[in-house]
Amino acid sequence: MARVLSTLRMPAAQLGLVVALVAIWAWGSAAGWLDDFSFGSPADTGEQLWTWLTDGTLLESALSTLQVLVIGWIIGMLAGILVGTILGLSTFANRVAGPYLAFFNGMPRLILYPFLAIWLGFDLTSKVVMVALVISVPVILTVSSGFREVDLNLIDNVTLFGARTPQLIRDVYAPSLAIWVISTARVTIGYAFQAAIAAEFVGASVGLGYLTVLGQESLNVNEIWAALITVILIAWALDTLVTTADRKLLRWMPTNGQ
Amino acid sequence: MSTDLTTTPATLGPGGPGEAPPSAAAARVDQRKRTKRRSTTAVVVTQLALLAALLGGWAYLATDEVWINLVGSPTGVTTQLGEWFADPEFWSDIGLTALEAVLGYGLGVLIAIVLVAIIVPVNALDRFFAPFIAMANALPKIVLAPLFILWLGFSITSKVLFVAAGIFFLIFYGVYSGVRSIDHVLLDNARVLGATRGKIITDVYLPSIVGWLISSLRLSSAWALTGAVVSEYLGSNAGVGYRIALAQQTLDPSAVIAGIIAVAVLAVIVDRLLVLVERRYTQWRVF
Repeated sequence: MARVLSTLRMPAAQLGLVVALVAIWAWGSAAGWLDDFSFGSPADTGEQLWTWLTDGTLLESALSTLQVLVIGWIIGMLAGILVGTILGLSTFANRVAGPYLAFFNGMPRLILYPFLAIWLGFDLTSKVVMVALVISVPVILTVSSGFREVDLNLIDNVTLFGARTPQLIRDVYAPSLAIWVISTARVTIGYAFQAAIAAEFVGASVGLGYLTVLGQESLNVNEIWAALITVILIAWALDTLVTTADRKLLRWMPTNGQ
Repeated sequence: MSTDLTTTPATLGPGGPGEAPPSAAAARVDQRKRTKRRSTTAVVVTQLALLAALLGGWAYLATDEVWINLVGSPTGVTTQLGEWFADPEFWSDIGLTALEAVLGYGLGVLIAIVLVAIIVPVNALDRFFAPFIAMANALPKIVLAPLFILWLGFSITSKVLFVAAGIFFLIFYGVYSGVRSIDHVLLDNARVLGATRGKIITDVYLPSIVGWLISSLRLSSAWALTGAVVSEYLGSNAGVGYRIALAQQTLDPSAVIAGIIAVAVLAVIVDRLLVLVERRYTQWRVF
């Protein structure tokens, strides 16, 4: 019983913190010592969320952002894996691409969107390209260095047993590739989300990034809060989903550390 | 390396008929060096060819009247950059963006270090904040930009604090997850040997925090510039981000690209510098 109580104590305390913060926020805005312009109020924010929820804005925005995120992620992943494989198998190609990759890896790719918007317009294409560009660089780097880190003994053994390059790719490289894709999914999806939102800041009439900027432009902090809460919940759900999938799929791997 | 001795003298390179033939091993090394040099030349040539092909393709596209309004032109970009370089106002814009990034970065790092040092060694606090930290880590930090602009307007403060908030989350999570992977055997050993709580913090946690901090510092540096530029883009009247926004509104792709290149070059220089720092200070890291 004491054990149950002590395991329950932590979530209760955590919930308590959230409730306390909201209560202070509500009290401050009602009593007037929290500036309404800067902080809004829980009631107004809740009302805003409810309005968006009932008129479908929220669903439409979330779906639009997720659409950009998912399509861009898949394209970026495929492009990254393809280029990364070429660079991983060919030392020459890897050395040629080196400085280009270092440049694109070091530069802030989130600011590419204004150019893509002029070039491709403000529709879905430019946002998808943006997301794909942002995530493909780290994927290329991971995959190409991953190819170099595949156990050489394994390759030697398989070659000794008579495997040729296609078989090597299928039976040695592809499984390792799957592991890198899964274990980096959390990071790449995080990047993809940032990219999708940055793109929506600039050129969109729908989407979660657009909702946030809308609040800034109409000087309504409650709209920003409502948009932020939505983004946090979606990001958190996505992150949990990916981590769980990661753990399930890679359960058989020996864990290092703890 | 025994194979070096079996090379036939026929492959001897530079030794002319009149000279004494150099040893086979030396010739082999020489040969290898030459092959390496030749392949390096091939790499550089291919890189330059690739660059030329890209620029040439772009310049060719730019001869078309429709395309030049979409993708700009290499000459347009260089002219724009040349104009900016001669303009002291451009340098003050670059300086402003860099200042915002640096101040925000420093502030974010400082807060992150203090909080990690408080939260991680205390087990109860660690468990208490774990879900909030996971949530904050999942949040795409860029989405906070409009909030800071609404709060603090077009001022430099709004950019500095926005960058600081993003950097704080990044560094905090990097160091936090690193320090949490500290070897438990090490902690137990220290305790068995009679280390007090304070001793454990200064001798086990602190070195570990510093180690992880250094590796997070470089990874998050690009974000500081990104944050500053995006924030300037959304609401300001100075800085490189503002220049990009202005160019976009006037539908001038060459100027947009010039702005992006300016930021990219700045970021790459900072990144290279931090790689040097990282290399210097991570040699000693043991845990």
